[in-house]
Amino acid sequence: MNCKEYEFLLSIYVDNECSESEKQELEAHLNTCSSCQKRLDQLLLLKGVVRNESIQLKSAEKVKKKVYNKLYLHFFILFAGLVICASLIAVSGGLVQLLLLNSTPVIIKCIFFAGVGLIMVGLVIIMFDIYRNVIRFMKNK
Amino acid sequence: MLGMGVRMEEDIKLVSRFKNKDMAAYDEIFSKYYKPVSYYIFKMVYNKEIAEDITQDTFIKVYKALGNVDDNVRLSSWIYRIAHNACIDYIRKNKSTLELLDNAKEICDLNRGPEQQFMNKELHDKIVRVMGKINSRYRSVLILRDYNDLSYKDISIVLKCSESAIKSLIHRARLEFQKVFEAVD
Ligand SMILES: [Zn+2]
Repeated sequence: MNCKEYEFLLSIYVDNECSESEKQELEAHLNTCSSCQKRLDQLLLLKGVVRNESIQLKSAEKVKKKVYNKLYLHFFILFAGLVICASLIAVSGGLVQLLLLNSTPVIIKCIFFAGVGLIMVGLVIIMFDIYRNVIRFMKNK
Repeated sequence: MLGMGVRMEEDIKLVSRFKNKDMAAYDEIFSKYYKPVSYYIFKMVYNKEIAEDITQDTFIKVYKALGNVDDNVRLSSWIYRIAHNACIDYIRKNKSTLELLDNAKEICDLNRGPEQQFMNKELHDKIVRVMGKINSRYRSVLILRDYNDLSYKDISIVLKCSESAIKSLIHRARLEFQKVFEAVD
């Protein structure tokens, strides 16, 4: 291997990701080559520089609160949307029922109301699930 | 390496608790990853407000998607991946590097905390400028490796490429960093 190839290996070496044999070979070369030794020092310096450049950001608690609020809002909107859907279905169901009452055969009425009933059951289940999520959130806050 | 295994086992437990609707698990995940992930995001975009927005979105996505992940997912890489994609999205949409540099100059004054007083201001400013100048992919691997301490394997998951690609990417990133560092006065 030449120094160019060792240079590539050095980058992996400072990250501790070399295989044992690569490590031995490289360390043997480092003992004899001052330019690669210099490169190693540079790399270690660079790593230190990136590592130590620290900053101050908002505390976890503040941001966590905001995240929870957004998630809570998300569930709330879903919940509200479903309530609106349910009431729309109920109202239009009522209207159709009024219209259907006199002139349709009984069997069609039964199928129709069974369908409306199933949709309602489905909505109740979905709402219950979302409600549980919201409760979980409120408990957690 | 033992520490790493324990950490991963801990994460697997957290994920399964979350899947079983244990909200405290999400809380723990947040507390565990908020700091490193938000630092990663900040260092990618170098703007406090934008970093906070991206951090919030990241953790919201984590909440929404965590129920569907594989049980053996590497949680840390998975979260970093969401954060990384959000940063890259932002950078792509706001391509002006100049703007980033202006922000960076302003921000690095605001953000100097007491713990970094040992690093001199000039050097700090210079790093910020160099980081703003190099390609975002290079910036990303340097931060993930040298600041966040991710292994090559983890980084390869975050960036979705092979480990050998990561090896040469990091090598090239360091050459580039050094080149720009020497050119910037
Ligand atoms: Zn050499």
